[in-house]
Amino acid sequence: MTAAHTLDVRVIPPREKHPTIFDTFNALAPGESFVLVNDHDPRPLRYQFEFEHAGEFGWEYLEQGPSVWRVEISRKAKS
Amino acid sequence: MKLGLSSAAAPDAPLGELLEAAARRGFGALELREGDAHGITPDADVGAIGEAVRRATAAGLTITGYRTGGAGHDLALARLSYTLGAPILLEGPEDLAARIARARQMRNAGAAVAIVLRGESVVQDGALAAALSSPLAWDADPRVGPPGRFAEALLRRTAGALRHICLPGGGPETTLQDGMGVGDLMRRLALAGYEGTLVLAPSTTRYRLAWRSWLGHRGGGGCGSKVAETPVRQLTTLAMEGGER
Amino acid sequence: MSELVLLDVRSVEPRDRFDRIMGAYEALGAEQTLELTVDHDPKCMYYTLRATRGDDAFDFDYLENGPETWRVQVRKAAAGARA
Repeated sequence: MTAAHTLDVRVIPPREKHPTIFDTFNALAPGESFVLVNDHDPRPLRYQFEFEHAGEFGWEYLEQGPSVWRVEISRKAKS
Repeated sequence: MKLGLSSAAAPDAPLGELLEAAARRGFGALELREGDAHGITPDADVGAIGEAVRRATAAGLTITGYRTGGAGHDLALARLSYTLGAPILLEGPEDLAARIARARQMRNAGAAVAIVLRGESVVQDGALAAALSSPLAWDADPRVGPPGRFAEALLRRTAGALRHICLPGGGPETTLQDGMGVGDLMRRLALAGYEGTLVLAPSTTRYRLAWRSWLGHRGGGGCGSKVAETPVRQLTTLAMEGGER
Repeated sequence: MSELVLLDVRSVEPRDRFDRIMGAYEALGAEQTLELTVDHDPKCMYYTLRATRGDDAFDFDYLENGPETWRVQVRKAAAGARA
């Protein structure tokens, strides 16, 4: 059983936040995923994924507040 | 990985206030530091410690460690560790070999103990090698240098023994830590599958005011109020100008 | 001449920034320009506006592009102005 990849972005300075998220995503092998943990709904991030990685990512909410949001972001194989 | 709060972020807060603040900010873990106002001491009554654990659980929090460095109380610390269901995070003695020996003695007395590593470089050192095979805590310090690579090396070398990381900063200091490698640290921890705790604490006591406000200390928050409206930079500037006692 | 509405979100907690920015955008009048100052590249806001308002609904121009500060000017496109 592999350990979960948990990326808690609450402690990351704003300028590094999205680059860190995309660096983590890009380090995944197809089929792998990580769990993003945040203190608000990461909607703008989702739109950025949709524009920059259309069709290559999965997005599943595991928890939706009120204090913590968890999203499992998976990397799909390029189609 | 579980994000946690150190009682060092609210050293004057009694336990109830500390639990409330940690829960409100969405933390899952709580690390108690000996000497802060939470009321848990090595000599505390077993019933009181059990009650503290119950209250933490009710608030959705797990007490994940009790941090201490001072000499003495070792048997009491062992008992405390057992009742808390959490390891002693051992900061002292200063000499690593002596700290390892003390940890071993405390384990023999029934304590769970994690030795705190701070700043030691990952070198082929006899004492360090001995430490690396025991449960470990590590204090990152982004001000000294990017913590990511050191964390990854520690994780690799300790194969799961590293379960507690303390990161000075985060919270109201998050926006000030740009460029210090916090993002890199979090990415490496994620990709390494780190499943321990990451606990936040003020990087300096000068930010005490900013942390008090961020945690919603009385007057700064209240049920349903948006503590978040408080401008972090202003508070931090105040703290830096010595605006707190 | 467009009236500038200044919004500096650097001192706003990250979890409140989205609502502040979208609220300021929504409140813009036809003759107003929102000048947003942020400590990170606001392209995610650009993508959000594109996804939720449509490609042609707004203008989004960078005045400053880092490395520490980003300033963008956002305007609602005039109705019917796009060919």
